[in-house]
Amino acid sequence: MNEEFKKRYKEKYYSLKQKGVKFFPDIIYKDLVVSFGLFILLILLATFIGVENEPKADPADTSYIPRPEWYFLFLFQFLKYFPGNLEWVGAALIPGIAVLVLFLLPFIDRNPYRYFSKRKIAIGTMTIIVVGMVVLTIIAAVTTPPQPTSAGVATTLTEKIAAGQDLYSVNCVECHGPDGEGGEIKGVAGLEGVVVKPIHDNDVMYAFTDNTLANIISMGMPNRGMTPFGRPYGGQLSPSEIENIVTFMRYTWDDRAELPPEAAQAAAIPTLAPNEVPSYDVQIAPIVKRYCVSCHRPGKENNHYTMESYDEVMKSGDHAPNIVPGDLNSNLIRMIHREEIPAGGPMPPTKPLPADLIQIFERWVQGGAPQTAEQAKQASGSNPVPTATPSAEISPTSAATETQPHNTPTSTVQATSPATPAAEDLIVIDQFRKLLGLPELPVNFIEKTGMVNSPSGDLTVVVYQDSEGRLYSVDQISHQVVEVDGRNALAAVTEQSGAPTMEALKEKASQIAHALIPDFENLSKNLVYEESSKGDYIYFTWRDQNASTTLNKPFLQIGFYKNGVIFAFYNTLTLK
Amino acid sequence: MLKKLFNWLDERLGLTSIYNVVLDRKVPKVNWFFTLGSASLFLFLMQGVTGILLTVYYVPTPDHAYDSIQYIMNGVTFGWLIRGIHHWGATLMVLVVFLHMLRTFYFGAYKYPREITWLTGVILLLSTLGMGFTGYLLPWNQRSYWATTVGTEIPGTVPFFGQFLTNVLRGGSDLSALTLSRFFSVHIWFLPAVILGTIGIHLYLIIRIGISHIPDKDD
Repeated sequence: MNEEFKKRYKEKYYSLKQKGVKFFPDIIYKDLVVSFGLFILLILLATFIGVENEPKADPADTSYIPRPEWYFLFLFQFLKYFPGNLEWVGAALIPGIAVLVLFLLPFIDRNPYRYFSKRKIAIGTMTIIVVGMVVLTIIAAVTTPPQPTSAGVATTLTEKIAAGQDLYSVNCVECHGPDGEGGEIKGVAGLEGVVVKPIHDNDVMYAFTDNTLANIISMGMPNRGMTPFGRPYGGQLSPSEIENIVTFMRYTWDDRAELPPEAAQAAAIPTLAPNEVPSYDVQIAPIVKRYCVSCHRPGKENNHYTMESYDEVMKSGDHAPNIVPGDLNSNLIRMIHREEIPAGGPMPPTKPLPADLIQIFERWVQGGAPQTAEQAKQASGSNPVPTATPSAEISPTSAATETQPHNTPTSTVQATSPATPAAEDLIVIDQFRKLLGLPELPVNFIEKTGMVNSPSGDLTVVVYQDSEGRLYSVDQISHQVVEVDGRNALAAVTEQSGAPTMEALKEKASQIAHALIPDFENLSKNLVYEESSKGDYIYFTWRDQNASTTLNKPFLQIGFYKNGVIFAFYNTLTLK
Repeated sequence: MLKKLFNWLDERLGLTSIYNVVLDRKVPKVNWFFTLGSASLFLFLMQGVTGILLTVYYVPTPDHAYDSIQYIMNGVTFGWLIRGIHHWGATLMVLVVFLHMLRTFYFGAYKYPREITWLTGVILLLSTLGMGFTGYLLPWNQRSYWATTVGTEIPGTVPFFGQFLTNVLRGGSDLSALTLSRFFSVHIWFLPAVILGTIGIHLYLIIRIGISHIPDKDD
């Protein structure tokens, strides 16, 4: 710039200054307005958008898609156009030159003019560059795939404990047990029969710091058979996940740490109202997750029975179906009752499932094994809560018309068939109770439903419940009691003393069979007889293996509690 | 009484002459685009204040960095607000500083007699980007770890001495505890010192020369 231009500029600037404004307050005022606006904007952004949660850095997780801060995205995208040996041109050379040009701009751009139209080259170049940066940023933002792990990150203590419990259930339960109690390992390849020390007592909790626990989980204990779980050592877990497991262990088992009430509540299996049918989503999934999934997931020895979703629970496995809605003789129910059956041995292998959880499973299967809470509600919605109303006042006619068809695929209802008058069923039930020696109690209509393990597979029965909880299913064609389920009433009778011998019980069962079926003596020649027991339950069964029915062979089964109380009865032999 | 106190201070601090030189000066009429500079300064001060508060709890080690931030977010009273402002302040500052640069460019304000003001401005822009880059690693989460891994690979592409540059940035061949402490130190000492000093020169020049005017057809 020559001296003449400099002089001209100085004079012009001087005159503009004289015509201008005072720095204070005019300029300062504008600055303050803008700064205050930015301040408010910052507070709003921090409050309503906040900072996104991210899991802890995991150097071993190579699947993570790196993504720079947005203002470097354009560079990130720019680099992609310089593959292989040319990479450094896009990465270092061009940006380096750009920065240098920007830096030395006043000495490169010797054009003395300032007005836009007199600086076409400079303005044009800069505009192209800025537009290019914006376009590159947009391309990068649009084309970068979303991060695969978009699941929420546990931040609060409660979330961490819950996340830790889930991870513990999947990764640790098969060896350490659902409560860290350890014991003999069963069904884990390579570790069969190894005895694991408990990890839930103070010996472990007081001796190991969080860091030590995290390191053990991450690196494993190879000389004791524990494989590494941390990703750097060949496992599957990230540092954040291991930390969550440690948090769960510390707050659940260390008596110096107090489990927050919300966390305890979140971990509890939802409880059930007396007549509520459990659903997979609400009750079964958490139980399965905690007690079963550790082994029943891909890559484990489980006869291909995986249990990670409703469909898998219902349909997968070499012995599928392991759950037949409505059938308490389903594989799964028999196995959690610790029965040895063709499908496998007692489950879970090391420690029995708590009785209340077994009951939830039974009620679920009995209620048609519904998936969603909505379906379960419909299933239980047709079960009005039993009242103390005398049986004579019951009107199944009206109740039956209220009954809605089930959504579950297995319990079919023939809504068109007329409901039998209650009195007729009540007489049948009364006769039957005398036969079995059951107490006489008022009964309530429960529902009209299909019975899936009947020979035809869809026998329509009307179900009544007595005031101690026994369920009676009455066939509407031949007017006989097809099924009695007295497990709900066992609590009331288990106090009775005496443990009759197997022989005595068999004799009793045989008497009932004879009383019920007049020519049983003759018939039984063609029946296959078997005795079986599930824990405290003893069953006597006669099966008609030659029957031509396609779905289920007719059978008669009588079940006793170990003290000789009859609690279960099932008869499809005499159906017409 | 107040007047006496003011006179006493004025005699020693020269308040009146500061007022005359800095505040009570005439400048050309300008528009709202000319507030971008002061907005940058304001955001820098906000970042300084919130950053200092964050260092109270933040621990720059791989073992504790993530947890200390979790604690700031969930445990410290208004910790979430301080971190939120710092986080969004960084984004806004890059944006505002860049717009300030564009304004200077389009109005030709880098020309005589403001060449040196422009030079210091470019240093401030690059330092701001450096602050963004180093600060991004500090939360030590997946996003920051991998972004920094990729970011520090870029100088490594330069032939011959590229790998050396990457190793200097990382403090070794891989991202490690050294990288974190290095970035932390650069983020809270080196760059703020550079920025503060440069802002001093930048402001001195602005006051000395005066803000540029909006060019008209004669310029």
